[in-house]
Parts: sequence; structure tokens; C-alpha cells
Amino acid sequence: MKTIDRWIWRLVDAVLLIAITGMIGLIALQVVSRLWGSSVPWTEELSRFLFIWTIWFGVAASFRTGQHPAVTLLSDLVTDPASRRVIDLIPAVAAAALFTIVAYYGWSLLAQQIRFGETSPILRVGMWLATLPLVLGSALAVIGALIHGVQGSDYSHAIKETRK
Amino acid sequence: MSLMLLLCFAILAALGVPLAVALGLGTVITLQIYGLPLSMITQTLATSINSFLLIAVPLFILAGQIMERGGLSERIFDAAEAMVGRFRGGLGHVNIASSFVFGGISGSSVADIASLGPITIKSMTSRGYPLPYAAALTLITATLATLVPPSILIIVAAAAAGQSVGAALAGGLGPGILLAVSLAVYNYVVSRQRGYGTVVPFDRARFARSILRALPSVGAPVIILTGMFSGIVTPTEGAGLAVIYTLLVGGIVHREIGWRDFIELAIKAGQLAGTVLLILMVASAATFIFTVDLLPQKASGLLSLISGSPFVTLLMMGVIFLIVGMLMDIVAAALMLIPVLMPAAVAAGVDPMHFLIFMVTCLAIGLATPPVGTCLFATAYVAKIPTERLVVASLPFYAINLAAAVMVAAFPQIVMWPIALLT
Repeated sequence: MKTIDRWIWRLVDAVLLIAITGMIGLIALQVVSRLWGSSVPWTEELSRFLFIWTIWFGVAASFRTGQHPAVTLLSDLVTDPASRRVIDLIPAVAAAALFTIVAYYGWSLLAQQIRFGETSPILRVGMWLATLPLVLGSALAVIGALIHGVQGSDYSHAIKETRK
Repeated sequence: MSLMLLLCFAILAALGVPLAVALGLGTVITLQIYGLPLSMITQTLATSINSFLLIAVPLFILAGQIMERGGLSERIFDAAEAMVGRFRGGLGHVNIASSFVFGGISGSSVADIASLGPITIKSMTSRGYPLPYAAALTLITATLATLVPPSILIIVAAAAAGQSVGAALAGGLGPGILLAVSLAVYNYVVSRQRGYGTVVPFDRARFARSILRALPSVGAPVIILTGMFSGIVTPTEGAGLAVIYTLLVGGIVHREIGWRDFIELAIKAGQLAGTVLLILMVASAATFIFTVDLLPQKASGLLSLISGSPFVTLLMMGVIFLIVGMLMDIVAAALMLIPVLMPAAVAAGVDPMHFLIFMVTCLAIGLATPPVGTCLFATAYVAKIPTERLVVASLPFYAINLAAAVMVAAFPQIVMWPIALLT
């Protein structure tokens, strides 16, 4: 179980790294080619695709690490470990519910795009490639939120990783 | 309908559900109750981030982290110290100036406090500033980052409001300068009266050395901002170039950052951008509900009953901004307030840009105040003082912040003039 958990998020991190590095490269190409006088038309579209992948995988990974900003008043007030475990589960269940719905409708959107063969205006690649990260990211968010909720929040870690 | 949504949101948020999830689930529940198609939520989530503009968000976050890890931030701080260390309250001014210069870049106030806070606070206390004063000043200057370009909040807010991101970033400069100057004046007066800070004699050799050392680092903000405001590159392209430039300086000039650091920071930037933009995505779904419910029209109807002048309208909205900003994450607050209040402000004769920047000025104050100021807790943590003491020490600074916000409301020129000048 632990190994699967680790490998899933390693893979997510790898996608993030590739997408972000790709965006930087594409934007550099876009600026250089424009100053050169012959702008490349597809950099903008491709970097938008990579951006969508970045964001959805970033969303999922942040559920795994519990980085999404939340009001921690309730869990700060409750010190009893048993009640704390239950309180830590509420956000996980809420996130799992929301992203199950998002993934479900995302899946039908994806199926529809594949069926109609909808393509992007410049690169002519399937639009489903921009919807796939939504489905995958939502599914991963469900997994990440649940694992994080069961493990409970580790407070020293939470402070060290102060976000934003 | 809107009430239903807000009620669900408030209950879920109070239970500790992440704000974005609370807002999203509130939207889902409302859609379900009022018989609207649930597929709407997925549609808005998908379309709201399909934007080239927003790519600037992860890239600026990454550039900020590289500046910090690659020793760029530290060198800027040193140079600023060599420059104004000989004046009364010198280190206080350094604190303000360096937050202004590179606080903007990382676009993230909490990150600045976590990275540079310990250094600034320690050097201030070792020069005879009381710890609470040093911590309070660090806290307040960190909120400057939300105003000075390239502020992540301004980028996201402008994109959500359908306004030019470049112009909005320029608009933040006026209030940023106003706030920085007011803080510097206060710091000068207080340091003089109470004898804070030992004055360091001016050392020409040290001055020249630290300026030279900081030159490549200062290039980062300069290149990005001139590129962006002269129209050679778009904000997103500026962000991409910022990453490359800071990477070159940190990796080749300073030799303080390697591939391993880049990999770690890129992944972190992606995750952080995910948390910011998830809020944007669900906020646009909630906006759909607000719009169907005609909430903006109701809000402007209500406001027009009470006031006539743009100034009074903004002041009333300012109260809302302050309260919401104190209670909520500022990105979430901004994205929920824009669709409801911007039409009302425009109807009362306020320029959209003036509205946006005034809102950001007010919301930023909430970062530093209880009960949920993220910067407040981060500063108390790094300074190792109780939050209550920090709040008491920060009271005069809150007053300065508020005064600056009122000035921004009263004089639209503070916002509009830099926009006209730069774009």
C-alpha cells in the first residue's frame, strides 16, 4: 500500500516537472521567435495544454500533502485524539465527494469529445487531451484527500511547509 | 440561491474543509437543490483555467522560489543595507525597501516571511531594535508583496474580472509606493524618538562590493518589469523569462542552485499554483450561481440606495473587504467579491481598475490581522514571539495600512496614474 502511494505521487510530481519545464521552454521559444521576426503559432496553445496538466496535477498533489488553505479553528480547538481523527476526516470526505462528481461529469465530457473528434484550432490535436487532466486530476484528488485524511494532519509538518 | 450557496460554504469552511472544496461543494448542492445541471460545475472548472494569462501564476511563484534559493534575495537585502544602513532606522528602511523590490517577485507574502523573515528580524534585533517592533515591521512589509507587481493576487483577480493583467499590475504600484513611503516615514520618526537601531558608519568599500554583488540579482525585477510594461513581452512571457533569468543568475553566477533544486522547486511551484487556481476554478462556478441569481444587480441596487458618490461606495465596500479579508484566504475572498461587487462599483462611477486595486489594498491588511492572518502566524512563528504580542506591536502599522487604503479610495489617481504612465 505504502509503495503504491509513493509511486503514484512520484508520477504526479514527474508530470508536474515535465509540464512546467515544457511551459518555460515554449515561452522562451515564443519570445525568441517573435523577436526574430517569425513567430511560431503553436507555442501559445501547447503551453496552455501543459498549464492545464500542471494545475490539475498540482491540485491533486496538494490534497495529498494537505496544502489547500482551510480554516483550522475547529481542529485547533479539539485536542482529544479520537475526536481529532474524526474531524480530520470531514475535509477528506468533502473533497472526495466534490471531485467524484467533477470526475464523473469530466468523464462524460471526455467521451463526448472523443466521439465527435473535437480538435484544437492550431495543433489539430484532440481536445480530449485538455479534459484528460481534469478527469485524472480529480480522481487523484479523491485518492490524495482520502489518504491524507486517514493519516491525519501532522502539525509540525504543516507549520514547516507554510504555504503560499 | 446565493444565500444557500454562501450558507453551505460557511458551514463547510467552519468544519475545516478547504475553502476551495467548501465553495465547490456549496455550488454543487445549490445546483442540485434548484434543479440546475450538475455538469455545469465541470464545464466551468475546465474553461476557467484554459487561459494563457494564468500561466504567469506558477511561473512567477517558481521565479520567486529560485530567487530565494539561488541567493538573489539575500544579495538584494545586503545591498539595500549597505545603502541606507547609515541613516536612522536604516535597517527598518532596508526591510521595507527589500520587501518592495523582491517581495513582489515571489508574489507570495508567507514565502517571504518564511525565507527572509528570520534574517531581517535577527539583523534588526542585533542592531538594537526591540524584537516585537522588528517582527511587526517584517509582517507589514510582507503584505506589500500583494500590491507590488508581479503580485499573484492581482494577476488572478484581473484575469477573473476580465481586465488587462498588465494594467492591473501597474495599478498596484501606486498604492504600493504610498504604503512603502508611509511605513518608512513612520519607521524614521519612531526610530529617532526611541533611539532604535545603532547607526553604522558608511563604508565605501563595503558599499561598492555589495552593490556589485547584487547587480545581477537586481536585474531580475528590472528586466521583468521593463519588459512587461514596455509591451515587449506579455506578463506570462515576462514570468517565463524571469524563471530563466533567475535560474541563470542563481546557477551560473552565484553557483548556489543546481538541477536538484530546480526539480524540487518546479514541483513545489506546480502544487502551489494548483491550490491558488483551484480557488479560481470553483469561484467561477460559484459566480455562475451569483449571476443566475442576479446578485450583482441586487448588490448595486442596495448600494445605490445608500450612497451616491464613488468614494462613499468604495469606503462601504472597504468595510466588507476588511472583514472578509480578515476571515478568509485573500484569493478566495477576491474571487468571490469581484463578481458581486464590481458591477455595483462600476454603476456608482468607480473605474474597474480602481475598484480592483482598492480591493487588493484592503484584503492585504487581512493577511496580517487575527483571527486567520496567514502572515501573522508565520511571522510569530519565525520570530518566536506570542501572536498577541505581535498583534499589539503591529497596531500602529494596521493604522498606517488603513490610512493608505482610505487614501487609495479617495484618490483614484494613485491607481490610474501609474497605469496611464506605464501601459
